[in-house]
Amino acid sequence: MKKTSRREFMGYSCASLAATGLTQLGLGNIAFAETSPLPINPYRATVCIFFKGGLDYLDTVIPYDPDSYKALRNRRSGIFSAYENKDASREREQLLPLNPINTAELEGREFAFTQDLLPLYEMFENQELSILSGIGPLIEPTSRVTFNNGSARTPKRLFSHNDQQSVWGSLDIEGTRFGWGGRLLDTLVPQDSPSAIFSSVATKDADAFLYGENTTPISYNGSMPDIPKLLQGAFIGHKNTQAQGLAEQFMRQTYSLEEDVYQHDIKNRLNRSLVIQDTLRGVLSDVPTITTIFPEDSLGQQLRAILELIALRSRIGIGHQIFYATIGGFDTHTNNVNRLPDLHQSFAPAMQAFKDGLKEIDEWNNVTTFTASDFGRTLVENGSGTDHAWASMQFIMGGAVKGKHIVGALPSIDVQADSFTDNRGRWIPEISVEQLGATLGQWMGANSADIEQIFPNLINFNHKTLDLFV
Amino acid sequence: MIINIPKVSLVTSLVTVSLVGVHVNSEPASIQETQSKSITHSLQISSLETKPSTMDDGSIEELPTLLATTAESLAFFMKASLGYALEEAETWVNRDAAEWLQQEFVKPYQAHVLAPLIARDQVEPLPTNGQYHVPYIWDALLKADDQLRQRMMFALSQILVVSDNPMTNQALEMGYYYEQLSKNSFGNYRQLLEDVTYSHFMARYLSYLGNRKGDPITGRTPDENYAREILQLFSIGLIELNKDGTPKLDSDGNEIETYSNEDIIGLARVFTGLYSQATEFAKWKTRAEDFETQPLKMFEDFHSPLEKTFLGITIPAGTSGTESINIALDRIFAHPNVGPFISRILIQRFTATHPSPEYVERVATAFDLGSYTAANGLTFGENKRGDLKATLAAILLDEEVHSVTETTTGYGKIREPILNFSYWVRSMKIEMVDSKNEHALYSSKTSPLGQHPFRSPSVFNFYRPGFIAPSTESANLELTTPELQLYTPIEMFKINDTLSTFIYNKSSKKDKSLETFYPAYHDEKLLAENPEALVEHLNLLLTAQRLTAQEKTDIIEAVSATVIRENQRDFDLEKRVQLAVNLIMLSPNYFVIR
Repeated sequence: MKKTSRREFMGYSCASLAATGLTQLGLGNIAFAETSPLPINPYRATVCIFFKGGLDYLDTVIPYDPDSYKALRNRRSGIFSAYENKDASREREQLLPLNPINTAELEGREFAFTQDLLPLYEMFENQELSILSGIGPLIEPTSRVTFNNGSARTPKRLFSHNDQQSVWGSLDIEGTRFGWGGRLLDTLVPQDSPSAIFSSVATKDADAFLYGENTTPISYNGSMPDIPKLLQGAFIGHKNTQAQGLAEQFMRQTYSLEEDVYQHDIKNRLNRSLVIQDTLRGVLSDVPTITTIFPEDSLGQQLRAILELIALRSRIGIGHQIFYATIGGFDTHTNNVNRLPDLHQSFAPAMQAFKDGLKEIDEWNNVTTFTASDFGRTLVENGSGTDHAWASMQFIMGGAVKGKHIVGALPSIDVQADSFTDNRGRWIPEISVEQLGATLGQWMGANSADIEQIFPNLINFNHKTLDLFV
Repeated sequence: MIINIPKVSLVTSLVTVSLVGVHVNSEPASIQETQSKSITHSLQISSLETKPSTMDDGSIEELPTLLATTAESLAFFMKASLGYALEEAETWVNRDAAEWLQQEFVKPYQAHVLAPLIARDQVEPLPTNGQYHVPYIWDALLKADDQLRQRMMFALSQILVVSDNPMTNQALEMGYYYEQLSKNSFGNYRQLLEDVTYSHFMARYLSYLGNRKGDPITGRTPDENYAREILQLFSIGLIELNKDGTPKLDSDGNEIETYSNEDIIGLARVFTGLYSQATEFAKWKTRAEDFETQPLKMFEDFHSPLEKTFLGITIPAGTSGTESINIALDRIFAHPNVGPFISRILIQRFTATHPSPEYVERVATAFDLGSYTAANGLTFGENKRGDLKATLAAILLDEEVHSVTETTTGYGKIREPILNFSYWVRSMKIEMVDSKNEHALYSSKTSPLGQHPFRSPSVFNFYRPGFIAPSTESANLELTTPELQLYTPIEMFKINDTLSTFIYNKSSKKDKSLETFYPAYHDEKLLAENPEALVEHLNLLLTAQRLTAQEKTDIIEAVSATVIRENQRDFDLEKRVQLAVNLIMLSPNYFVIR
C-alpha cells in the first residue's frame, strides 16, 4: 500500500509532540521557532469561492441589449413582475451596464450587473475582474444534438447538487477523493517542507477540491484556536499540572492500525487537530495589522482569514497556496425577488474587501480568485425562481488577471438554441472547468505534463487553456 | 478457562449464514488472528453468565441475539437506543435483543413536540419567528422513554431532511413535521412518504408550496425541486441498485441512472396545486388559523392538467391532483431501489458505518417482504412492503451485528455527535434534563455540538451516505464514512469543548439559577478513590469494554494524578471522574461502536 510522504510527515510530528507533552502547550512554534524562512518568490495563490446551490447567472449578469433584455423578461415574467412590485431593481435603467474591453467580440450583446453588485461592477470597470461565461464541467465539446442523442460523453449525474459540486472541484461525482486544487499542490509544494501544512486551506467546508494524494487541507476560520477546554485550569483543576500533562499525553497518543480502521482514522484526526492548533497558534501570534474592513458576514470573515494567512506567507515560508471558501443559499427555486439581492450582497462587498486587503498587503498581483457553483439555472422560470441546469457565468479577479473581459461564450435567450439541452434553457457549457483549472495551474507554475495528468479531458479541447492572464 | 463455542445463527433460511465459515480459510493469517482474538474476548466475558439453549440434536448453542453479558447488552443499546444506564442494561442480560424490540414496538406513540407546542400556543400565540420546537425535540431525544422510536425518528430525519436553518416561522410546522416522522417510525415507508409530501414544512423547504401548473403562454413550467429530491434522496437514488445496495451495471460496465431530466419534467407536474389549508391558492391571508399543523390542501385549478410521464408510466391528462400524487408515490415506492437504498442509509444510522452488501440485502429483503423473523422465533412486521418494524428488526437483530464478522460491518459504527451526547446524558444519568435552559442546545442557527437535530446545512443532510474521507485508511479500503464529514480536524475539538462544558458542569445556562443537566456522578464518585475501578466501570458503561490496555493504563495514570485531599474530598473525587469521562470520550474506541 502506497503511503504518502505528507502522511509520514504528519505521523512523525504527532509522535514527536506526544513525546514532548506539555511543553508544547500554547507555544506551538513547531516549525517556526528557530528559523525564520526567507520569503519564497514568486508567490502564487489561488482562491476558490464556491456558491453552493447553483448560481442563477441570468439574475446576476443580466443580458442588457434591448432585444436580449426583452427576451429574458418574456421568459421570466413572474420574476420580473415581482421585482417590479418590490423595488424595480431589475428595470433596465436601474442596471449597471458593463463596458468590456472585448466588446467587439460580443456580437452586439451587452450585459449589466444589478445594483447589489456595485462593488464588482467597479472592479470590472477598473480592469480588476472578468467574467467567465458558459463555464461548467465537460468531457468533450457537446451540443444539443449530441447531448440528446447520447453521442457526446458528458459528466455523470448532471443537475444533481452534491455530484456537480464534486465534479467542479474533483472532476468526478460524489465520493471522489482528490480534487484538482489538491493535486496541483501535490506538484507545486515540496512535501518535506514543514510549511506544506499551510498549502491547502479551507475556511468552511473542506471539500474534495483541496485534497491531493499528498495534500490534506487544514481548516482556518480566522479565530486563534485556544487549547482544548479539558486541559484548561478551570476544567482539569488549577495547578493540577501533572494531570494536565498526562491528559495531554493521552490525547496525543498515536493509534496503531491493525483492524481498527475507523479508530485509526479518528485518532489521526484528533492528533492532526492538535498539531494544526499548535501550529496556528505559533504562526498567528503576530499577524500583521490589516486595516481593510471586511463585512461581518460569512464570506467576509472567511476571506479575512485567508488574507491573514497570505499576509503571513513569508513567515510561514510557503510559495504556493490554494484556499477554498464557501457560502450557501443559491438554490433559488423560488423567491428570486428577495433572495438574489441578499445573495449578491453576501459576496460582492466581501470580494471587494478582499481585493482591497490584497492591495494593502501588496499581494494583489500574486493571488487569483475565482467563483464556482454547482451549476447554472434554467433560463425559463417556474414562477418565482428557476431550476437546476448546467453551464453558468462566474467571476475571476486578481492583479494578474486580464480584467474587464467577458471570456467564453454568450448565453442564449432563445429556448430553441443549440446551446441548451431542452426548452427550459439548460445551458451546455462551452468552456470547461478543466480549461480553467489548467490555466490557473499554469499560472501557478505547474508544468504541462502534470497539468495534462490532472485534467484528463483537456485533450478533447482545441484550447488547453483560456486567455485569462496578462 | 475458555470454551470455544462460536455463536451460530439459527436463521438458516437466509442466504449468508455461512459467511464467516466461507471466508476464514481464505483470509490472511493476521485477520484470522484478529478474529480469534475477538471471539476469545467475547467468550471470556460470556463464560461468566452465558445462558445456553439446547438444540434439537442435543448440542448447546447460544442464540446470537442473546444479550449474554452486561457488555454485550450495552454494546447493543449503543446501536439501538439513545443511551442506557448500567442498571437498565443489566436488566437485559440473558434476555434476547428481539424481546427489547418487541417491548419498544408496543410503547404507545406520544406527541412529544407538537402537543406541548399547541398547548403553549393556545395560552399565548407563539411568536412566528422563534425556534420553540428545539428544546422539545432535544428533550425527546435525551429523556423520552420511547427510545427506539426516537432513535428511528432521528434516523428518518436524516433521510427525509428538512432544516430549521435558514427557515423561519417554523415552530408549529416543525412540530407537525417531527410528529409525522415519529408517528410513522414503526409504520410503513409508503405512508411516511405521503405524510411528508403533504407536510407544510417540507413544502416550504423544497419550494412546492404554491407551486403552479405551467403556463403555455409565458412558457413558465412547474418547480422541479421536489420531483428531483424525492427521487434522489427520499426513495430511489440516482443509480439502479441491486438488492444488496451495490450498483447495477450495464453491458459496458457502466452504472445505470434511474431517471432522466425528462422524468423530472414529468414528475414536477405532479407536485403542483398544493398549498396551505386556505380558501384561496397562494393567498396567505386566506389561510386557516391552524394551517401549520394541517396537511396541505390540493387546489385542483392550479394543478397541471397535462399528461405526466416519468419512471415508465404516464398519468393521463386531466387526472386530479390528489390522484396524481397517489399514483406517483405508488410508482416511486414500487421501484426496486427503495428497499436497498433506504435500508443502507438506515443501517448506517444504527449499526454500521459501511454495512456489507449481504447485510444490506437481508434488511432490504425484510423491507420488501414486510416481515422479519428473529433468531429466537419472534416475528416482526405486517407483511406489507415498506414495513419499518420489520426493517428495524432486520437491522438490529442481524447476525453480523451480534456475531463476530469479517465483513465491513465488523468495523463498526462511528457515533454521530448527537448520539455521542445523548449517550452521555442517558448513560451517566444526568439530572434535570431541560434543554431550553442550555445555550448549547437552544440557540438560534448554530450547532455547538457539531450536529443539531433538524439543522443540517441542506437537504443533503449533515453528511452523505456515500462519503469517503480523503487521506484516510478507510478511504484506502473504500469504506464510506459519512460521520467523518462532520469530524474534521478542527471540528473535533470544538465539539469536544462543548462536551467538556457539560462533563465539567460548566455549560452556559439561560437561567443561571437553574441547575440543569446536572452530572451528579453518584456511582462514579463512589469508585473514584480507586482509579482502576473507576476506569474499568466507565470502560464498561461508555465503550462496552473496548478500551485498549494501553489506553486504560494511561487514563488511570492521568486520573491518579489528581490527589484526594481530605478537606476537599468531594471536589477531588469529582475532578477524577470528570477527567476519566472526558478522556474516555476522546478515545477512538468510544467514537466507534462495535
